[in-house]
Amino acid sequence: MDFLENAIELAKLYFTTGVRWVFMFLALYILVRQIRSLMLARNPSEIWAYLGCPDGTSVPLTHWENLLGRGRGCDVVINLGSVSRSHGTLIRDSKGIWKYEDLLSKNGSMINGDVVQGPTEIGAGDILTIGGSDFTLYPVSLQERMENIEKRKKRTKNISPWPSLIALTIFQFLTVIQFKVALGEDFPPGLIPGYALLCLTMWVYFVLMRRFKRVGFEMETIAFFLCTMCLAVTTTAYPGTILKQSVSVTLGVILFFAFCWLLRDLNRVKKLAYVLIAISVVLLFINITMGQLKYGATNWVKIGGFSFQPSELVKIVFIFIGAATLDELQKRKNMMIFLVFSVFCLGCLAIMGDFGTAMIFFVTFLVISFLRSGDFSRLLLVVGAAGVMGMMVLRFKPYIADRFAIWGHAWDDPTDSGFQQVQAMCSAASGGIPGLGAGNGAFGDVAAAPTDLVFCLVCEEWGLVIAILLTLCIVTLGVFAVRSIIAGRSTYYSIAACGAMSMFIFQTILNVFGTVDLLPITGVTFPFLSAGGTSMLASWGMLAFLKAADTRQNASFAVKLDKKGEFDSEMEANGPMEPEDILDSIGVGGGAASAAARRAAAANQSRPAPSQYSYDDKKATMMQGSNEAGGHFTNKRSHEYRDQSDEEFFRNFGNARPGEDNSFEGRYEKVAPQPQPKPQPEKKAASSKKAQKSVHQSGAQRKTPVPQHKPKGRSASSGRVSQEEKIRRQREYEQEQRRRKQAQQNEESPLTLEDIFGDDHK
Amino acid sequence: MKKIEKRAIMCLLLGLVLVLGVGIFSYRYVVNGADWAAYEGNRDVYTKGDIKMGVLYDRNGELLMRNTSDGMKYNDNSNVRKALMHITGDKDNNISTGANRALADELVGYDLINGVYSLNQEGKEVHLTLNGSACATAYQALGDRKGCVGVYNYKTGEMICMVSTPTYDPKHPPKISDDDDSGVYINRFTSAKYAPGSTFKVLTAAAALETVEGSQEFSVHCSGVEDYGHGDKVTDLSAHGDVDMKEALEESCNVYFGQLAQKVGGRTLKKYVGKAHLDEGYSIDGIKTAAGTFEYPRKGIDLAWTGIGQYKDMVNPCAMMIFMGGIAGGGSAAEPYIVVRDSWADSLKEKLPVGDGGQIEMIEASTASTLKEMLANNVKNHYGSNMFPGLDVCAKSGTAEVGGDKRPNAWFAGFLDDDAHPYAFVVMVENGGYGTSVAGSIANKVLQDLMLY
Repeated sequence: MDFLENAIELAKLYFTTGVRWVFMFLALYILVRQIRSLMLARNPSEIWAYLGCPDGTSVPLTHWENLLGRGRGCDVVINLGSVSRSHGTLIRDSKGIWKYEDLLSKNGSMINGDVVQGPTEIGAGDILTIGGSDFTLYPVSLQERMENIEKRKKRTKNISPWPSLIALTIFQFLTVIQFKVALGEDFPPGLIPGYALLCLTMWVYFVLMRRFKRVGFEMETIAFFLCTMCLAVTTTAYPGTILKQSVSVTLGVILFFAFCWLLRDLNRVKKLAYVLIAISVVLLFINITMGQLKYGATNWVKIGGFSFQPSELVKIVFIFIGAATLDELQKRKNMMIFLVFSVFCLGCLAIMGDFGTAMIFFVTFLVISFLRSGDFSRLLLVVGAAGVMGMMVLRFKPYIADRFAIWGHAWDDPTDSGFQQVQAMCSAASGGIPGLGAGNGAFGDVAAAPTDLVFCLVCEEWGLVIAILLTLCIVTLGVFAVRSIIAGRSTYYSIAACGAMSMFIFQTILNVFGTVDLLPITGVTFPFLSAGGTSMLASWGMLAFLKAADTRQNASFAVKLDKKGEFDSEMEANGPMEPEDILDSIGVGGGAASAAARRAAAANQSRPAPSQYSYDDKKATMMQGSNEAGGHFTNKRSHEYRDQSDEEFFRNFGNARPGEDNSFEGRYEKVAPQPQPKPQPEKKAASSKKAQKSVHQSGAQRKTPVPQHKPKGRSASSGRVSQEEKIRRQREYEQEQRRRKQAQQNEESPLTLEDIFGDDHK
Repeated sequence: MKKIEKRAIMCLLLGLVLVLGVGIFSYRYVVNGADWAAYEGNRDVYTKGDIKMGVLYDRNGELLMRNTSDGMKYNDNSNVRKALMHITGDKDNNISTGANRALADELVGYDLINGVYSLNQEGKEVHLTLNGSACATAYQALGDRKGCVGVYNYKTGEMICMVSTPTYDPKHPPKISDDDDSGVYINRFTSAKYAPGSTFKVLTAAAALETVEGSQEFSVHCSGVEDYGHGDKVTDLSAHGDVDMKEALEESCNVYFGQLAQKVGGRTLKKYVGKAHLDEGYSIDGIKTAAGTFEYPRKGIDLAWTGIGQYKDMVNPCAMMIFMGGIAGGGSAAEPYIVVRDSWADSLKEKLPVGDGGQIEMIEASTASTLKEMLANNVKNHYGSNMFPGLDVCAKSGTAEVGGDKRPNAWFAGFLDDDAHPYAFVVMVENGGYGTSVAGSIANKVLQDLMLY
C-alpha cells in the first residue's frame, strides 16, 4: 500500500510539472487562434445603396449613416462650391428606410423638388438636389448582392469555434484536476459544480449560436477563457465563492445575449435610453445612501445578503448613452444629455470616493466625446480641468495621496505602503514562464489578490505567458473595435464598440499597471478576470457593444440576419458556412453540380448529398456558373421565366437577408463580365426556395433552420407581383443600365432589382 | 462614419499604452526576476522569514543542509556540521556567508523559465565544490584555536575547503551572549583580514623581479638589524649574513626585504598589490570576501615594514590563497567559485570567449616560475620536506606580529606543485605563534586528506 501511495504522490508531482506546460500551450492555442482571427479579420464593406451623381458616376454608400458635403471627412465628398462642408445626412434605419436630413446648409436640399425640412424619407430613384446638383439614390442590385455575399464570405475567413471550445473544455478539466492535486484536503466543494456550470454555459451558448447560424465566436471564446481564469483565481483566493462566481458568468452571458438582441434595433435602443438613465440614477443614489465602506471607497451595496457594485452596471449605461447616431452627432442634440449624465456619474463616484472607477468613467468620457466631436482642443481643456480636480482629490483623500507617494518605488517600502506591489511582483517572479501550477501559489493570501492584483496572481500560478496573453486579448478586442468602423453601419455601433473597448483597455491598464507599480494602485478590476459578480456582469454587458459592431458575414448575433423570421436563414443552406453551398442551392454551381442538384430537385425534396453541392472554384463567380448552366436551357426560355423567377428570388432573398451582403469590391468587380442568362439559374434557385418558403410561411412560423431542399417547380407566388412593383423594377433596371454604361456592359438579362428599401421591410 | 474612423485612434493609443506597459513590466521581469523571487517577503519561498526550500550538498553528494518548512536539517556528522557552519548557516540566520543568505537565489533555484518551481516544491539541490570530510579534517586540525583554512583548485577555481573557527554545531546551537567577542559568526576565511607577515614578502619579491633590474642577484648583508635612523630599526631573529633573494625568502630575512622594498618603492608596491588582487574583494558565487587594506609610504622604515608584511598591511586569507594560486598557475589564477557548475548554461558560459575566461592575470609567467622555484626551495631547505610527506609543496610561512603581548598570527600559504592536485591553500591561526610549525602542520593534515580523493 505504501508503494501505491508513493506512486500516487509521485504521479501528482509529475502531473503538476507537466500540466503547467500543457496549460500554457492550450492557452496559446486557444488565444492565439482568436487573436489571429480577429486581427486578420477583414471586415468587408457592405454596400447599402448607390448615390448617382450629376456626372453619371455613382458612389457606393457603405454605411447606414452617411454624411454628405464638401468637407474631407464626409462619407460622400461633393466637390461643389455650392455644397456646404457638412451638407446633409443620408441615413438608413434598421428597418431599411432611407431618410435625408439637411444640416442647416447654406443652399439647402430638395427631394424631388420639395425643400427638405427635417428628416425626410427618400425612395429609390428620388432626385435629391444638393446645392443645386441632382443626385439619385439607387438600390443595390440583386446580382450584386449575391456576389457580395459570396465575396464577403470568402474574405471573412471564419475559424471554426469547435477546436477552441474543445481545447478550452480540456483546459477547464485539467484545471479541476490540478486543483485537486494541489489543494488535496482543502479542495473546495464548489469547484466542480462551478466549472461544470461554466462549461455547460459555454457549450449551450455555442450550440445555440450555431443553431442561429452565427459564425463569429472569437470574442466569446476570449471571454470564456478569461472566465475560466476568473474561476481559477477565485478558487485560489476565495474558495467559498466559486459557485457564486460561476453563476455570475451564466447571468453575464444571459445579459450579453439580451443586450445583443437589444442592440439589433437602434430605435429600440433610443427608446430605452431614458429608462436606462433612470435606472442608473436610482442605482447610484442607492449606492450613495446605502453604500458600504471598503478599501476607502463606498462602492458596495448590500441588499438582503446580496452585495453588488452599482457603479459597475452603470458603466454599461454610460456607453449606451454615450454612443450616438450620425444625425445626433451632427446636431449635437443629445450631447448635453451625455454630458450631464457623465458629470452626474463622476459626481456620485467622487462622493463614494471610488477614485479608480471615476478615472475609468472619465477616460471613457474623453474617448467617446472625442469620437463624437473630434474636438481635440476642447478635450485638452477637459483634461486640464480634471487635472485640477484630481489634485484636489489627492488633497482631500489622503489614502489616495499615499498611493501616489509610493508610486514608482514600491521596493523602498516593501512591508508597508509598497506591500501589495512588492508581494505581487515577487510572486509573479516566482511563477516563471509556465507558473507554479494552480493552487500552488502563496500570493492568494494577500488582500485583493484576485481582484486588484489579479494580473500577478495569474503570473504566479499560471505563468507570465498566459498573463501577457490575457492583456493582449483585451488589446485585440480594442483593435477589432476600431477596425470594424470601416464597415460600420451606424456611428452608434462604432462609438459604442470603441467606447466599451476603450473602457476595457483602460481598466486593464489601471489594473495591471497598478499591480506592477507602473501606476498607483487604483483598485479597479480586470475585465472578466477579476473575481466579483457585478464586474463579471458588466464585462459581459460591455462585450455586447463590440458584438454589435461585428459586421462580418453572419458573425454576430447582435446583427440581424433576417427580418421576417428572426432566425430563418434560408440562405445558409443547412448549416454549411460556405458560399458555394448557397450558390449551389440556387443552381449556379458548375455543370455537374448543377445537374446533380437538378436531379435532386427532380427527385423532389430529397436533399442532395454534400458531394453534390461540391463547388468548383474555377467557377467561383456567379456569371460563369450561370453561363454553363445556361447551356441546358435556351435563352428564350430563360427569358420566359425571367420575371417570375426573379420575383421569387427577390422575395425570398430579401426576406432571408436584409442586407449584409454587398461588398465594396463586388461593386467594382462586377463591372467586368455580365451574366447573360442570369435569370435561369436564379429562377431555379429562387423558385425552389420560394416553394420552400411558402410552405414555411403557410405553416407555423418556423424559427429554426431545416435541411435545404431542392423542391421542384415554382410556387404560385409569382402572381403576387404587383403591377406597381413591376414598373418600379423596370425603372430600376433602366437606371442600372445607365449606371453601368461606362463599364461597357451590355446587360441583356433584365436584372430585376428589388429596391433596397422594400428589401427589408417587405 | 469616416470621421469616426480617424478619431478612433484614441482607442488604439490606449491599446498601445497597455502593450507598452506590459512590455516594460516584462523587461523588468527578465532583468529583476531573480531578485524579486529571492526577496525575503516572497511567500512562495519564505515562511516567517525563513527560506523553506533548497538542499545543500558537498562535492561528494554528502548532505550538508536541507531547508524544509519545519526549519533546517543538517549532516549527521557533528564535525562536518561544525566545520561548515559558516557555509550552511544557522537557524537564526546569524551567518552572513550562510547559504540561506549568500546562496539564497541558488537554493530557491530561480530561473527565468521555471521561476521558483521545483518538483516537490523543495527548491533546488545545490552542490558545493567543497569537500565535507576535508573540511572536517581542517576543523579538527584547527581544534579550539581561532583561525581559518582554505584550499582551492587554482586551475578550475573550485573551492575545496573553507573552514573558520571558532564555530559551533548548528544543530545544537549553544547560547551565545550578545557581548561575545570571539567572532564566532564571522567566516574568517572570507570576511576577516590580518597582517600578512612574511607571506607578503612573496609579493614584494614579485614586484622586484618585474620592476627592479638584477633584483634576483641583488644581495644584502644581514647583521640581524638595520637602522633607518631616528632609532627606527628593522630586526631579524638572527643575522643571516650575505643573502640574495632566494636565500632571503628561505630565511625570511626582514633586513633584505626592507632593502628590497626601498628599491621597489611604495608606488610600485601598490601597483603589484593591485595586480595580485590583495586589495580587492572577491565574490565567490555571491559570498563576498573582504578587501585587504594597505598604505604605501614613499620610503624609509615604514616602507621597509610594508614590504615585509607588517606596518598597515592587512590581507584577507582568501585573497592570499588566490595570489598563491596565481604563482602556481604561471601568473594567473582561476576565479574561485563554490557552487558546482553543472548546468548547460554554465558550461556554455565557460566555453564562450568572453573576458578572460574566469582567469585573473597577476604576474608574468617568468616571474611566477622564479617564485615557484623559490617557494619550493623554502619547503625543501627550510621547513623540511618531511613535514609534507609525499607532497610537492611550495609555500611561504608568516609570523605576523599583532602588537601588545599577544602571540603572533601564524600564516602558511602556498600550493601543491602537482598537476593531479592543483591546489592552492592558506592557513591562518590567530595568535598561533610560529608560522611553519603551527600553520604548516594544519596545512599538511588537510592536504594529506585531500590526496585521498
